[in-house]
Amino acid sequence: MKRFFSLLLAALMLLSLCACGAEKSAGKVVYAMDTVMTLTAYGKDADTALGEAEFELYRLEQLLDRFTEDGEVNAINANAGKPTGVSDELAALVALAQHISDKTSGAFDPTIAPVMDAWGFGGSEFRVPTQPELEVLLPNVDADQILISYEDRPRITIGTMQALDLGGIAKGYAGDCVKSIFEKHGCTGVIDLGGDVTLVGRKSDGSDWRVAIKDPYDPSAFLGTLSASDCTVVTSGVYERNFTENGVTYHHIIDPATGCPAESGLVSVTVVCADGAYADALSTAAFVLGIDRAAALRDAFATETPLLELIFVTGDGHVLYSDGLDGILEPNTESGYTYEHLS
Amino acid sequence: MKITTRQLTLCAVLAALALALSYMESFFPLALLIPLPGVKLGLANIVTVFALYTLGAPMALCILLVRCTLGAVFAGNASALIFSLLGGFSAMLVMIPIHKSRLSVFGVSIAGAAAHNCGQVCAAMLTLGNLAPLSYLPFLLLVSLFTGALSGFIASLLFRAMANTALMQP
Amino acid sequence: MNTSPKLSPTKYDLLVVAAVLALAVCLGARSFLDARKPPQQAGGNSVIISIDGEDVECTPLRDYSGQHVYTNNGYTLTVASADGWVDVTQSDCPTQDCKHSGAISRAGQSIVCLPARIVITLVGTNADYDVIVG
Repeated sequence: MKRFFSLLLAALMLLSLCACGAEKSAGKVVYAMDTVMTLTAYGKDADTALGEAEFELYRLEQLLDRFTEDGEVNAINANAGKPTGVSDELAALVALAQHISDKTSGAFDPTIAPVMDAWGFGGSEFRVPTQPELEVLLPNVDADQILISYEDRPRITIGTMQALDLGGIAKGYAGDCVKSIFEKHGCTGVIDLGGDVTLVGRKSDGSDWRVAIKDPYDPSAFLGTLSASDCTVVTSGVYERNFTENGVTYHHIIDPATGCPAESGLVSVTVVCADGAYADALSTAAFVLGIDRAAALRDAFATETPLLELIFVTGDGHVLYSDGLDGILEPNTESGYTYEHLS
Repeated sequence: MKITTRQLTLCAVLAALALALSYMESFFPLALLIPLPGVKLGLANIVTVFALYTLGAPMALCILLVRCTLGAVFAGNASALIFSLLGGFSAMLVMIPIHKSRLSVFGVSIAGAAAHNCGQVCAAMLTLGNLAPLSYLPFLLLVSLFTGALSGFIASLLFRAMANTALMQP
Repeated sequence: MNTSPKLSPTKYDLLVVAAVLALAVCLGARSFLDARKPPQQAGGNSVIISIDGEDVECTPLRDYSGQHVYTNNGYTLTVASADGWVDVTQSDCPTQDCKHSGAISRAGQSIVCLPARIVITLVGTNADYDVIVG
């Protein structure tokens, strides 16, 4: 009996050893949506979460990319002028894009694609389009013309000359989707979708994640470091994609009002937001709007998202940040920038 | 030294038990909890400790040799042999002089587990021709405190359970 | 019985524990000091690829982006790097330890593939951030 008891005890010890679930971490690099994504998950089911996340990212790429054959966005564009049946998920995302476009006075616009293509930011050769060319394209850059109807199933109709491109919101939305997968598996982690970062939970020691923000003038240096949890951080900057012609540098953030690179005196805008899709779309909108009008976005969206903070870097070496980032943004004192509150 | 049939039989049984324990270990993949190469429970060390006390150092060494060789043969993995041999003999080298000291089976077992890890890291460094595995050693040593104490505990249970059985009488 | 073992922990056992701890701390301190050495490249980590114990490649991490394929000892590893991270994404080795060890990003971290005898090590300064945005 005693012997049996001893063996039982030993077996229990072994089992308890297996159950003492030390924090497990796993990483994965995924190539999707034209970018390199780095996913890091912490938790017992980290591997499962990462596997599912990879699958989800491929699914979203298929759903949202306008160049993917058999994709829903592709179908809408091919069928421009006529209603196209879509999934509930896509209808909801297009509705959100339209809503954000509306509330940002069109500074974010999911129908900017034809203009982007004219500049070569759609993937072809960079070139400066002529003014008459832009005048033809601009009337079609108008998210209001997107019609979403819900009879038996959601249908989306865009203008015959329009093209829908969710590129400005897709990565943020993907961050939200992957975040819910992490959460479903009880994981925390960092979802880096090519520079758009979604933070899930906190670090295993209970502290905030540290997010270093690239210096727009020196990609190997940092503007500062954010301490944050459960939010998405997105930066839109002129340095990401640009080209120079006849001594003028043209960047890829096009102002839907003019059809030309936004001239708001900014070099980058960083948005910290509880919601990834909002963060993604609003970073573009804030860049186009410029400091004064963008600062008003915080009030405009206050009822929709509990957290919306902004960091602006101006062309003359100033970093302006919203007061909610006090104690959260740790400026890099060696960067040479002047750090100020948004007034 | 004269080997009795009882000793020889016990030796064979223990070698088989050690092999079985090494195999059983693969069902408790400690490396999943602590993601370090080379992390394992080291259950076979229970047998080594037990043999060291009951059969003496030469027999314990024989058992170790048989376990390592057969283990490598069954796994069909010759490169694993150098790992288990270097690990096992390092553990032996440390445990033989100290097992008659004032240390309990816990201390002996922990020292053995730590030495086993040192030996394995040495094997890894030899195989790779690189010092990189050394950076894992501090963590492996910390883990060995735990796994050594565990196998020491099981060994102590074993000694208690076996103390009055006929098997242990000379 | 050859020798009767002491079955309950004694105070001398603590000496063993202390000795193992001391060894671990000494070795840990060594690695820690190594990691604090000045970086080989100013402003970031470098990747060192060692095959069969020979350092075959040493590249600043920021120039290492993309996919890299290494073949040795009959096994092929695919290493992907992006955004300061290095990860073994594909390996046909039997243990798959290298694939499961996950992505590394900090100086002093390494991924070891024993069957292929390939070691990927990051050297340089330790970062005080988890991720880079922008």
